Amino acid sequence: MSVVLSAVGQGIARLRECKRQLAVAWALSLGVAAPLAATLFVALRDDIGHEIAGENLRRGWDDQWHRAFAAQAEGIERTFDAGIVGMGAVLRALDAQISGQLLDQPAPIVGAGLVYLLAWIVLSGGFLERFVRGGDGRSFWTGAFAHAPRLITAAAIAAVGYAIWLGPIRGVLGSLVDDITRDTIDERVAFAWTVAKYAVVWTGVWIVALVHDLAKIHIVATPDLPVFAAIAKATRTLRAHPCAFAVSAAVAGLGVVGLVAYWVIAPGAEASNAFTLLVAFGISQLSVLLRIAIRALGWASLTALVGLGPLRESSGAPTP
Amino acid sequence: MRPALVIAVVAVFAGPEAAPGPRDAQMHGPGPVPAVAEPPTLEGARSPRNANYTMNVRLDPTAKIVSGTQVLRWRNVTGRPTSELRYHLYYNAWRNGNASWWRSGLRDRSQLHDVPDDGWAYQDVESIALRDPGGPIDLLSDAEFIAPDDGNPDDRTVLRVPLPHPVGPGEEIEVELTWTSKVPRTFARTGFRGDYFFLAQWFPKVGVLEDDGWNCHQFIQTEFYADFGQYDVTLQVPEGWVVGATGTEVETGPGEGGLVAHRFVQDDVHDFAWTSSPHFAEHEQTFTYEGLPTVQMRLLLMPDHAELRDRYFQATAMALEHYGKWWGAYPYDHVTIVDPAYESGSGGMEYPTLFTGGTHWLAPLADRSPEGVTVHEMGHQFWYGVIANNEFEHAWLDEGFNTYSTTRTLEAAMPEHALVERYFEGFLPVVFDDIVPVERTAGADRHAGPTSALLRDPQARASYQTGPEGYRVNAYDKGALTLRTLENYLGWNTFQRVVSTYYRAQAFKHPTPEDFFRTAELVSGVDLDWFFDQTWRKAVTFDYAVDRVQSEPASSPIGYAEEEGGLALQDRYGPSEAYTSHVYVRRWAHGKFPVAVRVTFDDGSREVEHWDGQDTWHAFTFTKKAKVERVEVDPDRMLVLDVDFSNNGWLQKSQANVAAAKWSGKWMVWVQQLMEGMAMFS
Repeated sequence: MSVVLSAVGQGIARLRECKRQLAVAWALSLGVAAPLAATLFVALRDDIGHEIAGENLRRGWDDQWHRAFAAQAEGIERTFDAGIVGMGAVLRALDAQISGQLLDQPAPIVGAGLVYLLAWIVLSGGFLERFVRGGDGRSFWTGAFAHAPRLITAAAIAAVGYAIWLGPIRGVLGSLVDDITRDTIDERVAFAWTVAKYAVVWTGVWIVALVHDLAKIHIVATPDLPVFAAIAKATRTLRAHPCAFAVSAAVAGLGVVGLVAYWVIAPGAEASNAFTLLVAFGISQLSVLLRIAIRALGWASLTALVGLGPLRESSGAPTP
Repeated sequence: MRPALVIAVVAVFAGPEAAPGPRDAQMHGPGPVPAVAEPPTLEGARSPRNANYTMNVRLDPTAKIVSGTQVLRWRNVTGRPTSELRYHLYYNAWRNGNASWWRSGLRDRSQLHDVPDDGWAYQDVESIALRDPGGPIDLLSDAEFIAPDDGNPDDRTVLRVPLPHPVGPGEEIEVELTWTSKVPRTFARTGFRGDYFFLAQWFPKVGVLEDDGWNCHQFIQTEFYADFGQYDVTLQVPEGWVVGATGTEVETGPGEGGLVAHRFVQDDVHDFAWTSSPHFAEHEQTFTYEGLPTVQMRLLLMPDHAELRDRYFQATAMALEHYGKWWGAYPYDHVTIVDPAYESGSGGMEYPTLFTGGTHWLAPLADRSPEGVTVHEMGHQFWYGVIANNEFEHAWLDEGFNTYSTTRTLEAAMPEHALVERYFEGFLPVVFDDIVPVERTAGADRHAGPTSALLRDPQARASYQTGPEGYRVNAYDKGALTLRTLENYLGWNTFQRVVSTYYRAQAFKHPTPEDFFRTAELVSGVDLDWFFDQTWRKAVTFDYAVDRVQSEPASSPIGYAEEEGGLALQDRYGPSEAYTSHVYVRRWAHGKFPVAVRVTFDDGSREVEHWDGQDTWHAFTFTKKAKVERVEVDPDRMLVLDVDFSNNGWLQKSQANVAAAKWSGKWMVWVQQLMEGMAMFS
């Protein structure tokens, strides 16, 4: 337990030294999503025009206007409805992620997501450079671009693993659950089987993700280590440090706590003037920043767990 | 006009409760229609009772087989003799892919591959005999399958049975029949899931003989039409299985082969459905409301919905109360509510004195589930059960009336409503309190555009002949919106009298749309032909809008002006305290309806004008010491058939930028969250 807490504590300490990089990552999120939002903004603005619906939408929501809008919506406009209000944006996205339907979106959104994913593969090199070597290593961006080719290769290999779990295995398990529950008359039973299905799928994804994360750490820690060797080493590291699962779970738990806290403050559909609009936007961006920080924290904590990077006095992390 | 209808309509009295409506006083006097005729009563024969069944059936839950014997006592209530009977054999719709059910074009034939081996069904008649003083006369040898609707020789859903001698007007015959059915894995809300069975459309059922011949359609749409009668049905099921059925259980005893026999009887109904499962928990409550008959409510509840027991009862009571107050009393003293098994596909359907609800294990009140479906299906006891129009041809008479009534009931009894989103394959609901979904009869907005489904089929077209999407839109949406518009036009008091009169006059009959139109005109005293011509005979849409608004100073005009010394050219407005405002309103669609136009000025004053809505546009001009700030066409939303309310209003100061920024910003957070989900794989 103390090993886990120590690793997470170390991770938090290292993350606190990356505030600027986190801000850059958040700005990247804004930068990629903003053109899409601008497209929707124009569509909404043009549709609303001088209509009274504008008044209703400013104060809250106008479902009747939306029915007319949706009847003729195209492309990304078709994804717009009231379900994205407040925590709905987070829950709907998480739902798509858990059920393996992230790619079932309009092409511009999937495209933006893939660009963001690629950018994060590069960014991960910078973050890990900082976590592994502290301030003594290369600069964030130098590290990011130096490690990018091998990290991209590792991500491509890992993508096969992710795809297998979220594609065919999820499909097979889905069919299996359908068969098992085809005569079930109680929704709770079907729910339990569905939980079991996703528990299996996401345990698989989790293992792939941990091996992937550890492989990235080794790629950054050992610049001349081939990608496949890094993956093999990551597998051995995971066996040697099974508490990596606990570290990962603890970080995920922090993320869940953060999202629950966000749920409390998530801005709803209430009235907006320019000021409250800005405040609501700022608050809603906390949910994005939280997910960015949690992802980086996972890497920082795992780096600390395997004994890489500058150790703190308070750390109980084992040496390699 | 049918003489009987004239007498009944003139005779029926107004409903017991009537709230003031905005148009009543303007349109006509508030006086009630003279009361002579009785509402549906609880005693004696309330219907012609010309199709009476006595059946004894056995359920084999392992083989999914229902087999039984039937005696049909049938009387010719037309003015012409008939030399044949026609039976519906509904289960043959799912005998194979050649049945018209699959060939009608309403269904995607690729779904044939999704039907599991135990999903198919059949209904085989093993014997038919006419009871005769000289002994039974076999009718099966001359019987044949016919396809009156599409000529499909492979369809076996209508059986023509020639009789040895014609049955004259008023004459009665008795026909014995034995049959065996394989129960499907739920098609059209009938079938099984595990050891839950819901049996509807399950027995060979005689069609309706009308003056112009048999009305016995093939089974293509999931709607029905049948004559009233008495049902005496013995259902044999395994011991320990709970049974719910049309009617009331009068006897329980040992059946064949260790089965338990449950005997149900019911008079004056036109169908019989039943359900059985060992999982049902039985609950009973009594509905009482001053001025309305007492009704015993029996609820058969699935184990995962134990917490929802009271909500089922409350919703049933809501419908009994409001429909009863507004339209007329529920004429039976009992109703059975069936909570269907999870994913059984049998939820949300109505049968006489029995209906299926449907809900989720986790069901927030704001979602109105099971309330919405319960009110609706209980409502069908009125609009289908008592008013037994031909659903196959005029589905809007039950679905439209009932959707309208359901919405009205929910508005009156359940003000709480909020958006409920479901996650994790629909299991986990989350309520968003600040988003209020629009009611179903609030407007036709989702039918906007030149390809509007409202344009595809006139409502006068027989329901089973409407194209894809046409059925749902015409029967439910347009039907309800037509009635809501009519309510707004006539005013609630008058409209309530219209509908309650229609309900009471047509109880236990098979009314047609013309019956309702005549009742509406007779009771309201208003010519409504122009309205029904547009909404029923023709397929038109309605769309009124603000086109353009201009306010300019009301001083000397730009251009040449008379001045001392002659004409002078003015290139700007002179000083002025008043403004001339022009408001242009449009009729974008073909449908015509009178609308109000409300204009608000920036000094807070208001003007309300009335436009007959006949021309394609109209201009209103105002000269005031204020500019136009806001224009609303049909501000009270009388014409809910309008397919685009968003163009009905105009604001001088556009709110589009703020509103679009607000909502695109929220949407962007969702996109960012999706991107974070993808970045997890970095």
